[in-house]
Amino acid sequence: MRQSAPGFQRNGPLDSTGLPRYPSLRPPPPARISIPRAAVLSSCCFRLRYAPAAPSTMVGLSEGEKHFIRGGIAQDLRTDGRRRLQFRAISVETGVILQANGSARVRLGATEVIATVKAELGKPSILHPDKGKVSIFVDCSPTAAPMFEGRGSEEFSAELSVALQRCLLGGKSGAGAAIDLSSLIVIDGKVCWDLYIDGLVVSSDGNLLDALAAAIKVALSDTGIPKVNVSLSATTDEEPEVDVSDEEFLQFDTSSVPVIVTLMKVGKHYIVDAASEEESQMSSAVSVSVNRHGQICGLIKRGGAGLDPTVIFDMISVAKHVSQQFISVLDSEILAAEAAR
Amino acid sequence: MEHDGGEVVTPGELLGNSLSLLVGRGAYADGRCVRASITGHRRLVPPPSGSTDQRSTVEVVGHKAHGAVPQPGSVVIARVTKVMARMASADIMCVDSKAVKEKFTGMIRQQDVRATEIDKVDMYQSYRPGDIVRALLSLGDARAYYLSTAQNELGVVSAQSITGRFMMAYNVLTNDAGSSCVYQKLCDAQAHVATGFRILNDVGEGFALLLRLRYN
Amino acid sequence: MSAATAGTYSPAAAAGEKRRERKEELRRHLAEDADWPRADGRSFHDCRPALQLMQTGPTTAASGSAYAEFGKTKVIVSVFGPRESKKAMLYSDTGRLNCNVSYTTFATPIRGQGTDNKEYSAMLHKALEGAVMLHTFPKTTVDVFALVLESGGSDLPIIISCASLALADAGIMMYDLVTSVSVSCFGKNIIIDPTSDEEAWQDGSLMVAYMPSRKEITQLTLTGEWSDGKITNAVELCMDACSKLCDILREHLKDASSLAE
Repeated sequence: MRQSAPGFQRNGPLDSTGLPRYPSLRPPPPARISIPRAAVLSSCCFRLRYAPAAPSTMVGLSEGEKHFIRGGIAQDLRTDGRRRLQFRAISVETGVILQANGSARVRLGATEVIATVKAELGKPSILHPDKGKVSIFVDCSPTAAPMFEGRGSEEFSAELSVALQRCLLGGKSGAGAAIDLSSLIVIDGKVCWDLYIDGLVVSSDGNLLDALAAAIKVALSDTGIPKVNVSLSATTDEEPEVDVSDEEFLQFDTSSVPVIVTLMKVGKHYIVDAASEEESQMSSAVSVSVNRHGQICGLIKRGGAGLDPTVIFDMISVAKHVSQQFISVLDSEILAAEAAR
Repeated sequence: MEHDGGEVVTPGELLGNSLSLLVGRGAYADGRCVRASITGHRRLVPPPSGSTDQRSTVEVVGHKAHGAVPQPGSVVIARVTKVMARMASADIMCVDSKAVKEKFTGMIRQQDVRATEIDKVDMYQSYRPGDIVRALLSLGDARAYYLSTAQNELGVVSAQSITGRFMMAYNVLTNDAGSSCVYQKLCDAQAHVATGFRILNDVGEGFALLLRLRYN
Repeated sequence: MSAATAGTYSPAAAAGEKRRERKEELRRHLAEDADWPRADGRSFHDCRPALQLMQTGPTTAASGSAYAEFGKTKVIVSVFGPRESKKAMLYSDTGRLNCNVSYTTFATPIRGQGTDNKEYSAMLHKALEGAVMLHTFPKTTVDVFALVLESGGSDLPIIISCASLALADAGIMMYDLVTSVSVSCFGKNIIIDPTSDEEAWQDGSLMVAYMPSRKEITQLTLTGEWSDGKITNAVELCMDACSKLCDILREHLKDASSLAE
């Protein structure tokens, strides 16, 4: 077959069927090159040039590249050398934003996110006067990808915010929440702490949900809620006087904050921590939120394709297993970051 | 709508085995099973005589199929809305003799008007807003479908002259005694055999065209 | 028509207290007893009956429409299309599905509270995406508009089931009908198809959107703390309820179709 320039075939005004010829929109056929697996690792002569340092702009993968990724995953070898259930190197920094009550910056490979926690005094809701309020919001910055400019990231950020809220805030009655909301109350029915947790995506190379959840966990461990002194002279109807102290802080107990592990199904196998080129292959993924005790705190199925129920149960057990390792790695990183400060 | 007494099926219902049935309209194959994809009556079409495959085709006839969707390769009837130097916009009205329920926009590019001398096409002489056109459809780009009239049986089916009188589909061969030439991209009238000349004299414009009925 | 000051109606704060106490009690009962009768007399594993499932009656301008009433939840869904993609952002050679869920201002007990559920549009889209054959209407869009007239609990599952009914009515080609059921968990007990009172105090919830004939789950969301075994039980309970609901929907489609002859 004549090698034509990709996307354009001009053999005259009409092709064989008598129809005007329009530029072909299909990518060129896959190159049938077989590469010995060892050669990929040992020599860097043929290597997918998605330089791990900078996130790739998703122009689209060719058939050959897709085949390469799928074949590698089937053999437990991903494009950057990881195994299927292996996370990328994670690095954690706390106290990056000094104006916030707590903050953290987490790097998972080339994905970088920042999470901050701000606490403000507010009024509890009428339905739950003995609980504080927590709101989680994620913003994707245009520095991560130009398509996030203006309103382009609205849908995506909303999806991430909802997923995080579902995983971290637990049921309506407050059971299973990552943060004990009753500990945020100052005066029953009148004054409570409002926690605003904000996530910012600085650089996106896949697996944003896991990185954001890890960042929120670290930020919460770094959060100090100022101690509040309530003046006892307040009567029931008056606005009570609260004195926010600058010196003493209450730390959060983050041992029950869950992490999120996203499992992507590729062929018959699952991978964790997908990079962006692997994510573009996603047909279905399940994000499972597991806490230290092995309890499932949230589950979201992503992607449009349907999944067999047995596959979902299998993914849940794999996620539980993987998350325990991830939690221990994250905890040691938190301790190291705190020691370094 | 007539039905052959077949039972009513709903999307996802099992119609049969793919070993004994071929998949027709309104059904799809899911591994070994053939399932319905719309709500309607199940109908078995016997295999055409002389084919090697002796399986009958199962299809589902819906009582309420959605309006026609332009499929690439179908012949559509469209009304020209806008004519510009290198293209003309048209509203697609019928797809394969089925009317559409919603408006679709098509575009006739200069190079798709006819098969020969495509760079010398004058869009303003070929189409006028309001002309009814029969064209071949392709998916085109994000903004509009691409319509092509580059075949003998495609082109303007019916049009109104400047004075408002309806013009029939003829082929313009020559013109004479006129202040301007009108070359209309017309289509063959799939009409009965006819002979003779017919002169369309439009008094308002002051020119006459010599025309001849083409017959197949 | 006496308007004596002594008998004038004044909603006191004490009434709010009493309501909360009753709810706490209800929650305790649901968490501990295994067969506490629920407010509408159902047992833990009974779904609300479908009071009304109409089609094409609601909206004649639409290609297809459906109305569903389960207990106090009333939802109407209209399907328009396939029609030209308005936004024309990216060329796609498969069709697009555009979903929108909105609440009327009188849907919830407190006016305007339904705006909290903005994520329902995205979730409806994900649930239906796997079931609609997008390649049969290339480059066009099918619009699904859902309107919640009254919210009585378990809103999103009912919206999903009603939307697949409307799509089937519109003649859009689908792989299968998508039905959806949600369960609430109270302590050790699992309650299916919760009402809004039960939902307000739940410890956790799980929603499954399922295609019974293909045996595929298109959407699964979970909140609260669950153990492995509990998830398995709850998902199996949901799938069973979804299959039964799907049978009811199919019967309804067949009745409506033969009536249309």
